[in-house]
Amino acid sequence: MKDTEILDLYWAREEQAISETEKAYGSYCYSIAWHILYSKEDSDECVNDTWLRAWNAIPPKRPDRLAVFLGTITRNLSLDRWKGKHTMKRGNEEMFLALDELAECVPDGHNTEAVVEATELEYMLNQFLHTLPERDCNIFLRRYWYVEEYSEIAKRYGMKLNTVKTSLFRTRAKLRGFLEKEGVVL
Amino acid sequence: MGEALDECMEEGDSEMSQNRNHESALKIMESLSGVDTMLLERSEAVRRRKKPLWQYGRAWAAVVCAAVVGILTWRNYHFMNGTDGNAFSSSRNSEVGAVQISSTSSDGIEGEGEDVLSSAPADNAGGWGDGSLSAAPNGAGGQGGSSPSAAPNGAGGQGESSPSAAPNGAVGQGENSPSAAPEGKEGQEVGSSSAASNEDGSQDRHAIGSQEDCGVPLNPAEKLTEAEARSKEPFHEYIPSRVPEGYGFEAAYWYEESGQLSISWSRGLDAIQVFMERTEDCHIVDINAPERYDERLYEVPYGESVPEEYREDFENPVFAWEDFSREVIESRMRSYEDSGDTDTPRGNFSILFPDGILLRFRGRGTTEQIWDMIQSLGL
Repeated sequence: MKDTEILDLYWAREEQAISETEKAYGSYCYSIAWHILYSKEDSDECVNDTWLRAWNAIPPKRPDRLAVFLGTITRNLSLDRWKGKHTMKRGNEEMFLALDELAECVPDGHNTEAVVEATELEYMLNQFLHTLPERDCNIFLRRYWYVEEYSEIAKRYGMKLNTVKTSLFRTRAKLRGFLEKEGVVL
Repeated sequence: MGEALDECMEEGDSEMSQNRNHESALKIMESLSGVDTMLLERSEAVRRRKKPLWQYGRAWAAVVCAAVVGILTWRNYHFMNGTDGNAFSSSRNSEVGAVQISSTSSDGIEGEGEDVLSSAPADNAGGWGDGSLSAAPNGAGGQGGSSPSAAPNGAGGQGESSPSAAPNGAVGQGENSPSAAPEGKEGQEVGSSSAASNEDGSQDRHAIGSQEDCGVPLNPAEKLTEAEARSKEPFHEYIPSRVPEGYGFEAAYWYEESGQLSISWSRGLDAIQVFMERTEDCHIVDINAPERYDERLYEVPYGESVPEEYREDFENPVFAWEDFSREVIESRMRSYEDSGDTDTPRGNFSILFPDGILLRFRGRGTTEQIWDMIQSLGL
């Protein structure tokens, strides 16, 4: 079923909308949750919560890109669940590795500057990503949006593992430079 | 004791600092949720890059071996059967005027040693082989030009070539067109070196030296009748119900693996081929930038006149269905003064429909005729 047809079902308040969404995007959303949570039970719950959130949000929303809309909900729910469960205690998940890496991008704070708002940070990150070459941007998003492993990214784009690592290393350095230049304090 | 306390405090500081960094990193990660959806989609859409050809070493080696074995078998066959030494001659079948085309040479064998073509001698000039259609949906193949084949014979049967459509440049296999030789029972042509003519001029696809024998996999296409092609989901609506005057159905093929349908019509040396497939990622040419697709703006050879940056669009422009018009066809159909060719305008273009169906057109006809053809799509 096409996205527009699924959205029509939501707007008509037909419960079939949820089953069709699950059919079309179940595995996509599950994959996002799994990469963050590394737990089948938690991932399943997040995906189910995603359908509920989507049901409540549509209408009034009518997302242009249903996949990304659902994926973003799943990701947010998964991040919340991850925070609640781990409270920063070290585990073996890829999530910790990704956070370690992203920590390299955090600029040194200065007392005189105010902590940047989440929406402002979102805007800046978008700005930054648009300055990147397509390949580097794709790799960055696969790693830090989807929390995919290096090997998965390399396989997806037909690259060598080292190319992926190098690209991410450079992009992180660029991001740090960009945030520092913008005077961002996190 | 003091040192141990210091160490403990240092460890505590480092842990706290690590936690703080993680919190900040998490902020970045959370903020990424608001990233531009276009960027996310782009990262999703890109798929694995194809390996360069040279990386298919083993496959290439197998193909080369198969070709060598095929050639040797073919030669042995002719030696053993005591032919006149011209492996490419079909003079034994001269009564029926069979013609074979081979891309191999006959070096070392007594005879004329024609490289490509040998036609049977005939007393009376008969029909000519019509255009051989060999096309690739991805634009790899050229347009169906005329085949260098002649099948003059007294019986008057026309040497009708077979259309062989191969997606992605796969090897086309020669087959008889169902419409071939409507009157003459004998006139036939073999589109490759794979078939040998029998006494009655019919082809034997399993003759020695055929593709199967050489170990070369046959094109996995399924040949369809016109009616079958017209009922093929989801493409049936995209097959034109009207074709220019004089054109007749030639052949249709369904490529199960790639989900492509090809259908062709011919009119003497003129041919029209349409390929259909479902696609997810396709670059659409900007309709407001005629310099990217309008053939009238450039001189032949295009290789010299069309700027490099437009070359990809120019060679195979894909138009959105909503942008498509008679004017677009006019910009893409052009007559060329090729010796021995007809002056029917020819050209190519592709149309992307809103549901992701991509229709590639390649063929000959006037703007009016092709426009009429496109308007007859069952949409």
